[in-house]
Amino acid sequence: MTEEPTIELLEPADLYEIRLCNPIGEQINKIIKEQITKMICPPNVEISVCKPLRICPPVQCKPIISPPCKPMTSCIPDLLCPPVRYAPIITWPYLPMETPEIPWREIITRLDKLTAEVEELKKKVGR
Amino acid sequence: MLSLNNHYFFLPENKALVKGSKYSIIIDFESGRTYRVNRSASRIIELGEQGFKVEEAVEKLGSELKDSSIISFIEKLVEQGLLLLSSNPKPQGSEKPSELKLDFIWIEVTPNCNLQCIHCYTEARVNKDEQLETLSKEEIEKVIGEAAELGCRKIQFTGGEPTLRSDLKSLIEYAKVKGFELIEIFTNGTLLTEPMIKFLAEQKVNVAMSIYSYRAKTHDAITKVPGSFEKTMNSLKLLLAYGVPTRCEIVAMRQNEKELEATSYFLYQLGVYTRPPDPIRPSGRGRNMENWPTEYGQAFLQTKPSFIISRENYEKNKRWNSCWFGKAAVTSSGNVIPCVFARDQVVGNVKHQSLAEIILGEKMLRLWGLNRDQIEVCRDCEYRYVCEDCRPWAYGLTGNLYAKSPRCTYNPYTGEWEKKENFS
Repeated sequence: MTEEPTIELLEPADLYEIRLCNPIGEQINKIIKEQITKMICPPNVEISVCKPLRICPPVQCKPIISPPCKPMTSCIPDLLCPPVRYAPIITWPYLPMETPEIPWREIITRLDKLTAEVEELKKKVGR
Repeated sequence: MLSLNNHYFFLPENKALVKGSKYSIIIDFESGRTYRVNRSASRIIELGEQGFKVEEAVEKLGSELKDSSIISFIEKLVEQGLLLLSSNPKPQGSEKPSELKLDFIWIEVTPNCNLQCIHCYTEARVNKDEQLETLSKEEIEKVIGEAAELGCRKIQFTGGEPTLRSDLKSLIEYAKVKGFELIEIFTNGTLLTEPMIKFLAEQKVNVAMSIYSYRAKTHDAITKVPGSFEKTMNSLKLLLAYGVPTRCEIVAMRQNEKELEATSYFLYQLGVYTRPPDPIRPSGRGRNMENWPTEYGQAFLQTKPSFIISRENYEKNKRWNSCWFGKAAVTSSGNVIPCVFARDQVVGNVKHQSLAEIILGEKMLRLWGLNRDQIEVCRDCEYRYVCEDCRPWAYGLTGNLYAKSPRCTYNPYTGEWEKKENFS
């Protein structure tokens, strides 16, 4: 006798969420947006735009983990809470690696400076 | 029960069965769900798909399975919406084969580069004394025109470093005239001037750049040119200021793998689109893989069935290669290859043949048609039409064009995902 027929659901259809940080939402033109959507947006994927980095107390720094997704970054100890982003594991295999301490404060300071410079340049070029 | 017996049973139009060696899967294109069924279940569904009624399926499988098992399994799938019962046979589907056309073309406008990246897949470099063969402006325009006639509307000018060509603007304008809707230049950004960036903004040209780290020291160590990070970042600021759609590629390698997370974050926050870091390919200066990112490479292994389900990709993958189908790259010497990483898969040369002759020729169609049914092991895998394939990666590492992707840990003969530790 052959084995009994069986069926199992492999993957819950939880929504995969891709958060794209500002100003990407405004930046990417229609074609690129369509390409991204085509690439990562089957019925179980949604794209939204994430909020800028914020400083938050440690208690709020719990990454929210949805079953098929992994947060791109997890909490860091110095009260800075990087935004938690999600992506399908297949395209974003983040990252059970031994990552050395990332100098988040330095990076954020640099980003602030760079962003200010871009804004200044925008004014100069009339945008 | 009696009423069920004389009915046909089959998968709804938005679902498909893919047979594997041990297991098969039912793909639900509507919900994105995937179901795994064993061999018995697969046989039942196949009979329904072949046009047998329930009672006929029961008769055919009677020596192997109990009637009640077959019936209750069909009922279960009907309840779940995975099978339909009908007094009529399954309507013949209108399967739409993917259109055979050139969708995207890379043109490498120069073999030269002012950087000397340690992993460069084209081995581009500074060539002061040596005159490397390069396509002329007229030859490139001919390729652009022929690609447009083939229906291609997406083009990337790359190199080497494309901004080393003094006629790049003119080539971009020519592509515009020929109706290309997506024009992108892939540049290291170090030579972009403000007038050039203004031009790119006016022409609505997209820009792609490689940034290897948020740290100048790491980036410059990879490009082997001190100060290159600063120049690239200055260009990036101007690109953002002018509103040029810009994306950055992060190539993962031993030298930057500890900084990938922070670099991705850095770029996202700056407002550029970036995909997950892509490991170096075994091509050009990366061919010996001495800079392979060991830890990230492990993380990059596929160890579970997380696939992005879409009908369009499924239909395409059944017939064609999942990645390089519809794509072609023209190297600076005029060689045509299906992917920039597939340096040795030359299917013709635009100096001697028209692009149409090459693209529609036997060699290219054979490569475009290199689907998973031809790949060792994959041909027996139930995931073969939902999985993405990088042939340059597979054959670059194994020397075998038909080798299973080294990234995949699935064994379709056992139905098990093997442990990462078994892969190096």
